Amino acid sequence: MQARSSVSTVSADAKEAMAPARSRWSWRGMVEDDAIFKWLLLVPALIFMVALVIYPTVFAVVTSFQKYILPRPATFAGLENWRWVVNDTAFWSAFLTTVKFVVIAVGVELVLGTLIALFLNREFRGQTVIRGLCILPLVAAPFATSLAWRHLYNSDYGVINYVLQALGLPRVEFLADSSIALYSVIAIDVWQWTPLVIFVVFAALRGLPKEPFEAAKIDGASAWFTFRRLTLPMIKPVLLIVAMLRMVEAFRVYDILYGTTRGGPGTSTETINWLIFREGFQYFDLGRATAMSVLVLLIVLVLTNLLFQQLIKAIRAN
Amino acid sequence: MARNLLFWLGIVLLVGACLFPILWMLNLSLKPNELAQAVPPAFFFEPTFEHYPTAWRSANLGPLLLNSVIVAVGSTILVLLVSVPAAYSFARYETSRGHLLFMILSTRMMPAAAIVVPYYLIFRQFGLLNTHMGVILAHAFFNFSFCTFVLYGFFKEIDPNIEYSAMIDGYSRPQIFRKIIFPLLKPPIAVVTSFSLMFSWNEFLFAFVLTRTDASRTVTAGIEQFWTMTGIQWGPMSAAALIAIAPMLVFSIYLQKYIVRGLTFGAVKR
Amino acid sequence: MTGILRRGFTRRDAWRTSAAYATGLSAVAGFGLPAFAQSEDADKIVAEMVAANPDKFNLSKIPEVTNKDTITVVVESGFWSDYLKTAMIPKFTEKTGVEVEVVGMSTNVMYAKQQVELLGDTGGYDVLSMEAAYVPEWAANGFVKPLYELATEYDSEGVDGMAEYLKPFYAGLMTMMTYENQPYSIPYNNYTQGLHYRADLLEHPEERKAFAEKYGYPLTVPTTFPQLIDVAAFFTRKAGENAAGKPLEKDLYGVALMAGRNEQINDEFSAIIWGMGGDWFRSIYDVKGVLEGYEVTIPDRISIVAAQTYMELLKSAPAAAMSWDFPEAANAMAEGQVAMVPFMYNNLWPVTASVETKFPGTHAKVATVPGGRPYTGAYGIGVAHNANNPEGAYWFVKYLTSYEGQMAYALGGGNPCRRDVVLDPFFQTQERRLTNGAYAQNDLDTMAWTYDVAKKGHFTSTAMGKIYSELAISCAKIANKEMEIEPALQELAAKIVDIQGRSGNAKILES
Repeated sequence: MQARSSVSTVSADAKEAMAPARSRWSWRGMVEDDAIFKWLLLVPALIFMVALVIYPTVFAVVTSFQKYILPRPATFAGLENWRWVVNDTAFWSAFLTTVKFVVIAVGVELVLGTLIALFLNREFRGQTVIRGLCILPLVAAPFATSLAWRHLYNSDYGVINYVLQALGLPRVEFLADSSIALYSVIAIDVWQWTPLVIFVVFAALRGLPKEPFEAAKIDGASAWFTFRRLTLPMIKPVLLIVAMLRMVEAFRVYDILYGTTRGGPGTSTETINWLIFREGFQYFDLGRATAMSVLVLLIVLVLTNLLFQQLIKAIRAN
Repeated sequence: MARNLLFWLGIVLLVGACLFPILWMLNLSLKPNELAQAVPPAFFFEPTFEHYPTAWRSANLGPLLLNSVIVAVGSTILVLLVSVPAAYSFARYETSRGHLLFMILSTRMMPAAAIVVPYYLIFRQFGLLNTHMGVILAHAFFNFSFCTFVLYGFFKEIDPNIEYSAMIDGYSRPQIFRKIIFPLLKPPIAVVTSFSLMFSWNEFLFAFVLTRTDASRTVTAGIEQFWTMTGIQWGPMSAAALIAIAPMLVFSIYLQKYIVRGLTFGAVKR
Repeated sequence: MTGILRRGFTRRDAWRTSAAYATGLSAVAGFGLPAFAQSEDADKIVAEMVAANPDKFNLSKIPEVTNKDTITVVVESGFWSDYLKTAMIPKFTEKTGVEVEVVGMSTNVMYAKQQVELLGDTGGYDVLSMEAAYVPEWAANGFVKPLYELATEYDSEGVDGMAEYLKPFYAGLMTMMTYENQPYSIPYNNYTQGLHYRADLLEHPEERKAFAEKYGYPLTVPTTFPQLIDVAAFFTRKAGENAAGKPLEKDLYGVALMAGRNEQINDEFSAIIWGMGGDWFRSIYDVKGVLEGYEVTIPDRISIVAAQTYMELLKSAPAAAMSWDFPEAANAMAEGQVAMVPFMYNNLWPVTASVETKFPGTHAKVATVPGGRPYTGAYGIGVAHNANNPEGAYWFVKYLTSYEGQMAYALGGGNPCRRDVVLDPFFQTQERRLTNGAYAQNDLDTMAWTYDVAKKGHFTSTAMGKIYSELAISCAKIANKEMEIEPALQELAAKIVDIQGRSGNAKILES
């Protein structure tokens, strides 16, 4: 912080020296003036935000107070939709399912991804190719791969059950058993997204300074101790970022459900996005659909804000 | 030696786990129909190539691939134009002290189903439904937050003193950008470009709702139609899915060096 | 390859791979030109059939179409959209000069996707595909043009001609396509259910003897639900046990069910409730035949027993049935895994009957679903109210549902809606049994529905597209034991009242 403010005085001086007579509001002037320039840079983003983000959000908020079932016109409904959403058991059960999905999926991805990154963090023959292959799940369209998983999970012709039975293990109903189905879907998400964590952590590990680790080695520190006390604190900000990005994404899970359980068995894998899509695009009850969305957005905002504060702190501390 | 063996065993397991579902798709795409649901699953068989032309014709993949390219490239260019300056502003000036940045990121948390309804209504008004532009805008929306956030990290890494000293040396702002900032931007732009292309290429929900014919539907949304009245056509579906994901696979291999180098989000000091 | 392992991927490798991909694509694209072998056969047969029935409407009878704008047509994806693209549409375009763009989509999304375009009034689709459940809704909202109106405007035969044209279609199915005495859509895909079963098991003398000893009554094809439960339990056996005199290589189950989340579970529940004489909700008419409203009948005794019946049947089904819908259930029979699929759409007969080719010595048959009120319904096609080219769309609809079109549909393995096609002697032969052998049974059951369709809220409510998916969710909750039967039905009744009240035509009168 200290360094930055002192430099900006320098820059102000530099500017004054360069262009003493130029008006602050001329084009050149605006570009050279930090206070204006920083907002000038944001102009495209702000236009973009207003058109594609703020407007739909405002629309959603306004609609959530309306009785608006297409094709009938909207009428003001006060808190009716909100009352309905808050009392709707389907909403809360879908919300819980989503939270469960997010927490488990992101948690497993972080742990697994970090472990694999540590495992890959060495020089070996063919390393670039092997790392390149590990990234493939990340780039394959989730909707397409979820259909492949649907085939793999099948209890009769699926490969996974075939292998289990060949090993003498009992058959598992991956998608039909409501106590397992959610975990089967989570496994697909983990397969798809762990590579992201691997690569982020891997890149972070490559960037770490060598000296502390050499010192630890000389002191005879155990591998676990080195990881706990040196590696982990240093890659913590990266983990936080990737956790947040994954959380945001995982909350929107839709494609892999579409290809596999479609919310079932019963309602055991029905997530919030699935439920809202049904309310919005099957029932076209925009009032209820948007009330749900806004409520979800509010809850998620509070949750991620906490994480985000941590993150900003961690980045600034670094 | 044993340690080395264990390491390679780990590598084999890892690569196997990553590749198996994709290889299984390849297996399904080459399998004769009567073996697609055979019990036990057939690993070896005489391959047939008929599913590829079938898929190509029945899902009209040619135009769909072209649509995907237009949409992915278009939305990526748009996103870069918007998020590069924004990220620079956030990183260099702490504009709005992180609040706006957080707001941008949080937009991605809105359930897609909720966004797609207003989008539909707005796009209808402007005649953007079933056009490339409509899908480009929608994809730009959800890539915007991610790209801005990633770029923010990169820009944080660039030492501001380089710029300030250049200013003292008499460089104007445009010159600083041209001579100092842009050369440093190559890896971060490669990273966000690849992610933006990938997300856009793979996106299903928006691409499906905002398009209605093959004139603008992307290839990922096109795969849906192999779910027929008599069940999923595993052969053609897998063939189409492979044709659809292949460009991204090739692309990722090429870009992985940038991805590996660049994905630290500026959170680790070098 | 080893080179790559040593140095990693270079830019040149990326170019090479891309070039290989492009070459592969062009090979596939070039290779993709010849038409389906199967449809060429079908083409020839259809041509002969059409020539033999010159009095029926066919392609040559389409008059000059003045509007030449391209029409966009929504079709269920699969063999049918392929056939349209390669066989029927080129002929139609040649005859009329109207280009046709086909939008194939799965039935999972048909309602939502078309509804979006209709609500948005985009005029994006000229010809709509509609399930029986959404005909009243779209008709009431004015989304679809009445057929008589179209006939008056574009067809020299007018309303009378159209009424005559619709006669070969099953009356029950036509009732579903009709709203306030106006037909809106012409059915083409009949999905009446049948009980598909393994005759080699159910008719085996040893099995009959063992069954009679165990249950005290003779083993026949079940006609009541208690019987169905017994027969299902009877044939649920472990690998190694005997079935039809031979030891089983793998587990055998009594029934395959569709208890997953694809809405078909609702059709199974409906078949049981209706077969027991009950209802979900019932239409009430006044003395002039005007719909006054609905009576929600659940959770009455019948619906509770129906749900209990389903739960009993689940005990004799593979555990995987909890994720199944119709393809998997049909496949289970094809793979010799089950003795019966009690609620199987007859258009999947070619799949279930394929057990005979896979396991020589097996024998597939189809009978009426126990209770005699199998789930029924159809997909129809109609003309959108905001069609760009209603004239072209009208003739396309008429052409597609003509004797010629339905014949081609049947040859591809579909289940047609025209009696003159279903009962055509061509399909009753032994060599067509494995593909079209369910038609005779299908005809019986579809005919049985002639007068009852209008009594069901199911086929008359304008909110049915929405209620349908709630029914499925409640059934799935019951099957998954997430809720007890009675509270689940109670909750469902409240949902029906809510949805019907918020977006339906007539109010709930009693519940």
